[in-house]
Amino acid sequence: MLMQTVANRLPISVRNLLPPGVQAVMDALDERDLLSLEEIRLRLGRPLELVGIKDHPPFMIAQDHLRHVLAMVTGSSLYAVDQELRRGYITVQGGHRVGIAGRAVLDEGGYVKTLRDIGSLSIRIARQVIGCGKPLAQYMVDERKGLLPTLFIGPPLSGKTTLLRDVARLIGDGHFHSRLDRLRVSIVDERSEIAGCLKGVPQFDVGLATDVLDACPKVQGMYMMLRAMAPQVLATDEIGSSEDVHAIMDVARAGVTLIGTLHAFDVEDLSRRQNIQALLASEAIERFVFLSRRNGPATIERVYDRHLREVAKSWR
Amino acid sequence: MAIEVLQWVGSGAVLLSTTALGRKKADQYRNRPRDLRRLAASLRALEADIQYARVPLQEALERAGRQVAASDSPVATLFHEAAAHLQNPGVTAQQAWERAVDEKFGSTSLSCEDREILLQLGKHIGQTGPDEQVGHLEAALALLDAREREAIDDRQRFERLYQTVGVLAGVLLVIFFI
Repeated sequence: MLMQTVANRLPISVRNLLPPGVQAVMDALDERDLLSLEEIRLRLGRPLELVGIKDHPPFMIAQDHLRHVLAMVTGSSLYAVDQELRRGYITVQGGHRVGIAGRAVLDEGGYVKTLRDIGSLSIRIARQVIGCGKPLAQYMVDERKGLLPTLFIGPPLSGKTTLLRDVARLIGDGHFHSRLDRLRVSIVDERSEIAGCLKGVPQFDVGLATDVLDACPKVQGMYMMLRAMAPQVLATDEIGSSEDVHAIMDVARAGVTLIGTLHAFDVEDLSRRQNIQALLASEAIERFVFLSRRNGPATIERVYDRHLREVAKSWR
Repeated sequence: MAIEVLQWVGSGAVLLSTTALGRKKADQYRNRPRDLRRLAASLRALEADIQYARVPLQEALERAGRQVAASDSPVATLFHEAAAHLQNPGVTAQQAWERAVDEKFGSTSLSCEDREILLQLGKHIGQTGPDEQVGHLEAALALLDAREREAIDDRQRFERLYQTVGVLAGVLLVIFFI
């Protein structure tokens, strides 16, 4: 029982990454603080930063602390994570993402080969917020068309992925909307953040009728899932490039509903982008949900339709 | 009469124990080259797994232990033990390696200098990219290779010597006390 409450405060998979000194700092925090904790940032020679917590005892980060975290993150096998270092982050058990910055080593072609002299680590805590996607049902389900293709849009840390995960779960369980049956969902999880797969098993609850393609490049993955798993809904993260937009149009043409996330601040920011203009013109997306952190992560600010007109709650 | 019997028994015990001590020391000299060879074979396997297959360290250590012909030999258990420690949450490769060396070193025939080489290697294991890992392992292997040649020389010189010394010391003690 005690273990349960401790795990709820700070996921045990995160605590296990930390060196004993930092663990002690975390253990001294009260429950409210730990619940609002979003990121743990360690920088060599500077104090520990806990994003989401206003006040905590200072703790200086030394080389040994970084080494410890790095060893835990890589399973003491730094040599085996070249690819991840090239991308700049590693996803660990529990779906948490650890960003890494150091000195880049380039190969002959001028591409990043690996990182060395690692000086900053940022552990982003992934939390599943069961039920946070429920209020979206009134916007995302249409009487005639059923589930509408939707993008969740917002700045970093606004809860896009958390929302996407919960909506996928609700749809895959058949609990999203009273008029919506359970649908087959395919998640293309390029960064292992949506489902947090570890050895093929989602660490988060993503729904009963949900299949996950883990760590696969988005565009390739979307076509693979279309061909292989016959999804009714396709969920993917961080849409942005023109290839992504192309793939989305193909998904729409295949009669599959896409739900995804996109990184933008507001509707002006969004409509300025060329790729997105093409997407708007294709009318492949019906709902744009803007998020903020005004009332905590995943606050729904505004919902727009495919012509970027604001939508009132459609029907219940 | 009773004293004489006791004297015989006591002398026998002294002789037996010094002989056993001499044997043990001689065994160390006899087995050290073998253990060094096994250690090198395991480290070579570890190197290949790291360099080419990029096998995660925990599994690579486990596999390196299996390289040794006798899988229950002390050298093999050193690697298995390190792999087992590494599975515990919050344990780094260096800690796991050092613990395994501490626990299993006594049962091998390796010397204190060999131990230093192992501990030195532990400071780097798993902490750098593949090229640097190979560098550290190669350095350790070169040192172990030199030690092995030395150990073969020592075996020729000291193995018989210590066996004989054991027996002779016993005889000397018995004469001295009687």
